[in-house]
Amino acid sequence: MSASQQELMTAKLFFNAAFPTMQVLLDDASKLHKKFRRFQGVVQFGAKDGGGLLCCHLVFDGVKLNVIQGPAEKPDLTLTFSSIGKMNALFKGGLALPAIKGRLSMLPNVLSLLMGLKIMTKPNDKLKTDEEKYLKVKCSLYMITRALSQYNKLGDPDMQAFCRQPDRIYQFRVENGGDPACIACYLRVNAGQSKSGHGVYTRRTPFVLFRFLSIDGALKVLGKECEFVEGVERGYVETVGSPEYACYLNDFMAILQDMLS
Amino acid sequence: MAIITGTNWNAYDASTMTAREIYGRTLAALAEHNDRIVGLTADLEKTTAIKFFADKFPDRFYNVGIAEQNMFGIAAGMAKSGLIPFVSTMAVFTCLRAGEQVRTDIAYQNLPVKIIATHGGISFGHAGTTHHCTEDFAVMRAIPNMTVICPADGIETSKAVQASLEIPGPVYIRIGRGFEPPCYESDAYNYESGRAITMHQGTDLTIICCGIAVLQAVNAAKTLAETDGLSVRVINMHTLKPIDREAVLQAVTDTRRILTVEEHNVLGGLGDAVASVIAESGKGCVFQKHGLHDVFATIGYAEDLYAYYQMDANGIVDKVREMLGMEFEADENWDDE
Repeated sequence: MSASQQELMTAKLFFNAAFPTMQVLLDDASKLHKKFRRFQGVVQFGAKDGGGLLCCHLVFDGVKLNVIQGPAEKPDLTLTFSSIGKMNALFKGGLALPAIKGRLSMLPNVLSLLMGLKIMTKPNDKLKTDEEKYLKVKCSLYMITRALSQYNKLGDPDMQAFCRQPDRIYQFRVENGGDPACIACYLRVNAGQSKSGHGVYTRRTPFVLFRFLSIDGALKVLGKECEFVEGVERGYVETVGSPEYACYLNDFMAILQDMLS
Repeated sequence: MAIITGTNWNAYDASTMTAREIYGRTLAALAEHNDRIVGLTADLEKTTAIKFFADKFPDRFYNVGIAEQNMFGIAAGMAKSGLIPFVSTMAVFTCLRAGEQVRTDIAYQNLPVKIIATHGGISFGHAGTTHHCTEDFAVMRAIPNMTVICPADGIETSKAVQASLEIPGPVYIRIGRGFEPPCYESDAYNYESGRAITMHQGTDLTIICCGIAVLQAVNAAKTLAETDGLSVRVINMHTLKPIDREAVLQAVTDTRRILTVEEHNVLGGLGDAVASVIAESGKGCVFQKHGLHDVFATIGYAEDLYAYYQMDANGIVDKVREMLGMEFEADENWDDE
């Protein structure tokens, strides 16, 4: 049975937006960084869809990760789900078992990395260390900006309409302890094109700046402890620039968060 | 004359209050110390935020209904009898609909009527051409006795309203719709009517601007410094009339390139005021006026319009590069990071 368009889009967003976010974990999560320092190999994730296979593969070279869409020529490990729905369910935190083939010794590391992504949906009160808080905010913002861009590239008509703007930057910035850009990423759009990027975009002033005033404040907004507007009122976040376009983007972010969690 | 000392509550709340809201609160605070102050509006009590004054002093507040011409006539009569009327309505209804009353009833007699014109320029963009006002600087500058001010943000609006009491004749203060981000971080700076403020130092080119363009120009100057290594001076010419001739001529001497930016038709506004100063001085420089180039603005959200007409920081950056003959190297890599 073929997956619905919605399921297909969700799976592609996981492959194109969530998986690349693993790089943040490999760089900044101390335990995972240590685990992957000498890790080499190619891991393919896929799900059967009708007669075909939707898949991507992760190429590990120590802590450097490259996510490539499509099948690998010679994967060291493959995880194949019987349907896209089941694969999505696992990525969203449910239970689903894939068929596993190849070097099983790689599996513990790969699963721990996959589980690491769950930091984004972990309740704020369960975050024990500053590192966990930092990772949740960074992963969430990196993933959402990439998901926004991919949503356009994957053909969502509303997002494509949104991206038909002049060259504009939607900048996200988290301040912490005197650091004005402790975490920063952006979405750039121009005449239908889109790009997610890391850091502060310096070549143009942002059309909209989402400025989180602390990591704790960002957690409250991203963890849905309060609505965005409430977050503004409470001083967790402020937006500088067009209020209307900030709202439009916020609506797309809410759609993507619902799809991916 | 009683002037409130310090507006710390403004500075503190500036990020969450619109310029007109700050105006309403400032007026209410001023009126506590000056019982000659009265307030008038033409059915725009909430829209112009004079309601903060009205709530506090209902006996000194007059809502004349949708009758702007009458309102300015009434204000003139009140001023003639010794009161200091603060009149609030939209900019377009002030300078065009009630233009004759402002000119003949108020300015001709040099009466101390303080006009707070909201929704200036294209700040109420989505309301359409009837509510845009890109002619007011030209009209008001040409009326004798009139002082014309366009503050950069809410904090400066508060300062301009306070300072207007010290000006004996009529004053026209043009502000936006609100929602414009603050330009100043606090009110701890020296504001003086007719005295421009240097917001960003520079030696390659000077941007002379007012109103919402000030913050955009400051941001543009920062971007140009960071990405192009350009040193751009930004002058906040909050008082268009009388203009600070000294600041203009100093900028000509120091930078030799002048760009004016205003939310107004380039005919008759800040650009022409600056051009007159330069031409009369006999000094030469590269000069460009930027704003609406003799067109009625299209209809849309203000931020969209600012971007469309290149009045936002990015548009100003492009204008400066154009003036300096520089090309912007586009980043054409659209791969997601």
